[in-house]
Amino acid sequence: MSVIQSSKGFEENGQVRSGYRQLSGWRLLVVRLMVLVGLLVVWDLSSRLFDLQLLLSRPALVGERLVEFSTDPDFYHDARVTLVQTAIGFLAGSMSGLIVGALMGIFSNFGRVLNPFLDFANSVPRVALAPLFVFALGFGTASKVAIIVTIVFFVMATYAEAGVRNVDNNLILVSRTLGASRSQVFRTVLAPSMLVWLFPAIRLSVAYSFLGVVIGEFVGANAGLGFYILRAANLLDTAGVLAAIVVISVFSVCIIALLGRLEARVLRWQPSSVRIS
Amino acid sequence: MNEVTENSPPPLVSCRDVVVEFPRGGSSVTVLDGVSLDIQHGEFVCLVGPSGCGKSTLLNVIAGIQARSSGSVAIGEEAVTGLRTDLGYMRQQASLFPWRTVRQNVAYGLELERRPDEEVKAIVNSLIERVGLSESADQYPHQLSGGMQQRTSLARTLAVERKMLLMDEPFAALDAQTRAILEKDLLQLRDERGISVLFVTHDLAEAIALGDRVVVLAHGSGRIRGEFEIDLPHPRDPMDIRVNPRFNDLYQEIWALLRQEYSRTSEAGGS
Repeated sequence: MSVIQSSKGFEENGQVRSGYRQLSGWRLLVVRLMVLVGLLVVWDLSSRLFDLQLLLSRPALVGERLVEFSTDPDFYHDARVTLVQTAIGFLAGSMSGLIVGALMGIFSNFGRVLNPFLDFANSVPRVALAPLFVFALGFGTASKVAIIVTIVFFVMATYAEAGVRNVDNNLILVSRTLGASRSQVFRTVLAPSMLVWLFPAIRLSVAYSFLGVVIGEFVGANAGLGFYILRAANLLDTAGVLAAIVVISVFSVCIIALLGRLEARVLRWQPSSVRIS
Repeated sequence: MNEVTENSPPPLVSCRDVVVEFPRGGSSVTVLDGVSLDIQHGEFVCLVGPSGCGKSTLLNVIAGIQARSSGSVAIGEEAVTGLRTDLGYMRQQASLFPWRTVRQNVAYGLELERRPDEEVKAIVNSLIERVGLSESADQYPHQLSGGMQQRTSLARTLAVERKMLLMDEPFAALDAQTRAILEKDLLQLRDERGISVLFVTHDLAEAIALGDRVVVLAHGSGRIRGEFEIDLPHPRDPMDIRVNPRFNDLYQEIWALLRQEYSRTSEAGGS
């Protein structure tokens, strides 16, 4: 953005300041709210004008359903089940992916041997595995966690390996000539420079975790928001489907937004124009 | 020129017949071909020569970063067999840790040594002040100019006390003023701490202004072409010393040799 807008810009502390005033604070919020309202209006109008209530429902109906959710103990149960499964799957998948990916980057032979296998595994359409996991692990948490792990693991492993490989070797040399041990090099050079790569990976992983949990709950579950969506769809209850989708998306967006804040804090040493995401 | 008598103290660094060959295609290229060089305790030696003459390679061999094909390198009594952590090493690129502020970069080596916080703070503050970065101490590298980055790098190298510094064109990318200031700081620190320095530069005036001895490496052959004692007074100001008549004599004398090497470079470059 700022690069495109910088025709009138001038340099300040090495950063190009654009001549345009950047939206921020409450102004940005107002503009965003206006966009939201606009989208809702378009939604409502297209539903009425083209008679698409079965496909689109209407914003007011979905809103109504969301209000109903807020007092419905069954909804809280479903939401809790989905969130717990997502969290466990995300943590298990990203931790294991991080460790394996980092090891593949550090021990390049390990990476070289493993890479084709990972590529193959990553090409498998994981949705197709969902019935197997349910079959083998049952209708509970384990099958959902397994599905999430099969997706998130590869995202993290790929980024973690790339992160290790992209470490500036000059920094490692500096560190070692100053007397750093292997573990000190890892802690003080490798880990911080990998962080730049891990944040985008974590963000993708959160979104994929919700995808995985819904797939799992579609295929075989007796609770959870995915289960709710499936049941509502069978009853042609479009508002119910959309309301549950909104809830899941809001969870995902909130977590990603929190991660964004964390990233801005942790990576404040970066020139903003260099950030990968 | 550099007579080593029986009763002189053993040198800090001693290189004997160092040969370095790089494989290139099927054959190999000889970068250093039998270089012998001693550096005494507290001595400031400058290596000059055209690019590609193996200056940096010799430095890397002593630092234990580059393996040698034959010959011996010893620091004190101990043969160099791998990366040396008891030498300071600084290059033309600042290579600062981008996630550390100036202060944290300078403190890095001390943190590795697990020195007490108070001590680290005191050393870091005095060095930062010394290289003129007090104002920018809490900034990140991307907020600094190239000269400030290199000053940070110098402070980081000097924070850990080493008996010897290996410096590979550390000031080459700096503007003339910054360079003059840092050269002066470097000489002062050398005098205070009595450390040895092996300093690679392509700037003969800088080499004479700083060095106790200037060693000229030959183009292409990877050999030492000449060594010159720099009998200029100490302590020196590396800027002021340039108007000393003796400086000019030395410059002419060494340049006469060096220019032959440079003309070979251009011949080789033209072919």
